[in-house]
Amino acid sequence: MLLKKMIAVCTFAVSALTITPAMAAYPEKPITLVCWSSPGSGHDLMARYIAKLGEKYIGQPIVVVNKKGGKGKVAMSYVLNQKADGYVIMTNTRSMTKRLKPTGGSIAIDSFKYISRVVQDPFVIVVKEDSPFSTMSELVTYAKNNPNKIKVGGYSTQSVDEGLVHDIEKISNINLNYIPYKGGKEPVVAVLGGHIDVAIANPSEMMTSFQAGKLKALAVTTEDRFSPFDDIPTLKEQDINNVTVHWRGVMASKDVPDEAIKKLDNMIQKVLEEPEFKKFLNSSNMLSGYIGSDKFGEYVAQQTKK
Amino acid sequence: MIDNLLLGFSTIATFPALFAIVAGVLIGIICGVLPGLSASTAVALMVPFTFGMDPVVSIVLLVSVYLAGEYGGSITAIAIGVPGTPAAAATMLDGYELTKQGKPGLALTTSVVASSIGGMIGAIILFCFSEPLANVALSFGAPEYFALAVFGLAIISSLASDNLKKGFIVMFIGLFLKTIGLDPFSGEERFTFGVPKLMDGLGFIPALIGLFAMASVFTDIDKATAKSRAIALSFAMPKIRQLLCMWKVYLHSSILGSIIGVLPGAGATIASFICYNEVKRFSKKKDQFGKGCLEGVAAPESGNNAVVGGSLVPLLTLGIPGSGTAAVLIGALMLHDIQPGPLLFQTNGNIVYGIFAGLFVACLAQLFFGLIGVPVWIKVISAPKALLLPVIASISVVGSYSYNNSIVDVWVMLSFGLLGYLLKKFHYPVSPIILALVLGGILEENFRRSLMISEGDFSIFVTHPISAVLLLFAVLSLLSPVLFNRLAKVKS
Repeated sequence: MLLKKMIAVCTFAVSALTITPAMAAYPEKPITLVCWSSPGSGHDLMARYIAKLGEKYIGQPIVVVNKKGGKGKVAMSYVLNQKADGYVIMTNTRSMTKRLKPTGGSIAIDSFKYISRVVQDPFVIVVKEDSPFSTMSELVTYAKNNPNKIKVGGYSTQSVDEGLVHDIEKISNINLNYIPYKGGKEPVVAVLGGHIDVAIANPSEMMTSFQAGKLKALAVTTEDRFSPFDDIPTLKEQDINNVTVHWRGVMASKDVPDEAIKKLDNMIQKVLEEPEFKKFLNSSNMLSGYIGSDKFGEYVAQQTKK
Repeated sequence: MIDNLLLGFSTIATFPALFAIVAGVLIGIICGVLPGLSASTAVALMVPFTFGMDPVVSIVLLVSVYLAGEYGGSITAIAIGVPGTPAAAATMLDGYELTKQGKPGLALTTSVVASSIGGMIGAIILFCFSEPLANVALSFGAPEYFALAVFGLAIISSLASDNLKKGFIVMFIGLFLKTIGLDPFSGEERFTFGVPKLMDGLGFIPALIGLFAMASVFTDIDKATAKSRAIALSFAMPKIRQLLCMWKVYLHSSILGSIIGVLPGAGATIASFICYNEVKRFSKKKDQFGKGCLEGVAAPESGNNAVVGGSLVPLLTLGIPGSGTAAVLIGALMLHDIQPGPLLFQTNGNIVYGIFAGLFVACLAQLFFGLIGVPVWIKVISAPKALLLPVIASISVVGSYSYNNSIVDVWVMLSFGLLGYLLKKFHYPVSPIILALVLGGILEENFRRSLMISEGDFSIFVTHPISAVLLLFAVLSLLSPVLFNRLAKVKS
């Protein structure tokens, strides 16, 4: 019995000794980057670019694994069930954290450490080319006289899109009829076909129809105007005090050592500087949205408090 | 027009592009054969390989995988009664019947010929009519999709024509199973029992594998002795005349398939079943359908390959994916800085016309490799069941696991296997479940979305002309067996 205890203590001591220098050498084996959406999706591509370009900065291969399901819950519970040593990290998005409680339960905002926000995907509010609305104020005035008559389509329920619509309703004191769609492009198609009046869309979803003159943009939802929508005013400029952007980033389990988080964060910062990553952002109409590990967690917590 | 065509063919007349087509066709056929790898998964898996390629080569490769994947699924459907892709479930109805009669060569050859012709007609339709067809895609709103789903479900009257009651029971089981998961509008969980994996609903691919592959293992397991051969097989091939005289079927199904392909969200599975149903409706040999009729193989095959061309129409002209696979293609195009949409024809004409040409050449490659493959597949089927069944069982488990890297999907597959076994045992038709699982989501979502748009007014379904016409067809479709019976009785 005593012998067994001795052995146990010894092994523990030895392993403790070996762990410390191993940590300093993080990473010493390949890192798994879990992606919560399916292969080929925009989110998956971001993960794959980080994996491909990050390898030379972190010194180990990064392997992307897709764990789809439950709006990210499957991936999150998978990551939380792995050893918190920084070798299993995952991609996240605003819509994923939006559904979480701040604390408590098996998965919450504070179950994770937030490594970095990587990209931001703003929204553009669009109508059909022949729509009577050309500005947000025209839309608001109409909605005041015709509550619930303007049909606004966006992606899914309890989503960032729906949150944006409700924020606009609250700020302008109007009522809109929000119609949720399954994919991000569907509301744009419904606007083009004249089935609904307004669509909430990310640039990648409306860009080509907009450039072909089939859509009018009423507003962008960023702090400042951005290219190629330099002629489109922000919501703020139109007296609707709201900034809403969708974002994608990377996070890890909360028990992962800060040192590993820091290293991963540095790697992502460098990946964002890579010309190939910039080209990817450009071609998929997303903006760089880097926020480091020092501020990202706070940022997420603040957004979910609202 | 001729200029554009020449431009297209000259774009792909390079060694890498032609190599990509051949490789794509082979990969597609293999992925199609493996249950669990549908055409869309196969394309998605290939996307990362195209990162460093020339845009034309990479798109041509992906389109070839897509096309051949749709065909490959029917090989196993015919050979062992296990559809490799969802759309092949319709091909199985008559194709597997022919195999059981010892004539797999007939079905396999018809399938590859019909697929290739369907693909080519789809490509031609894409080339000639992309502009007007793009408007068809836009004219479908929520009520129209609801009506299309109802019309699709009405096909059950021909799938289960000998026992409509049983068909309806099975269909409603399928519709119920489809409600599992998150409510599409309120986000509430329905019948998930707290399993996060079930929030997305039951995986369609695992369900399909279970219903057909696993169920057939369960059914045949007692019959499989070491020496028992599956069936006495002949290498008989169809006569060229037999294939030629089905030209009407090819044309009819290809046009239908292309149009259904154009509609975002409809896709190859619905196209296959609708084509099967429509060809049967107009056929002189109605009573032979379901008993091993070549037309019953040709119709869904032409249809589901024509979908490929069709689904590229809204993709190239509007930047809207016409199917799940097309959605993956959009992502791949964007990676190469190509924005699919109304301006694509002006900005990247060589790519658009390269895709037309690539699709065409891929059809020829598919025809070539498909025909070479036929004797090989016949050899495979003639393996003793004692060898075949364990292979099917293990592919089923691996296939459903790899669908999402999740063990839950394996359980789903096994449960559906049990369900499929029971249905077979008590002589219930299985295919209505597939129909319900494909259409249930479209049905519910668009029903509720229509009512949100109309603020609760049910007349929206009949005041929209397309929706009204489709609903009328659905009613006629459901009533037709009853009416025909009456008519027959009166006559006699």
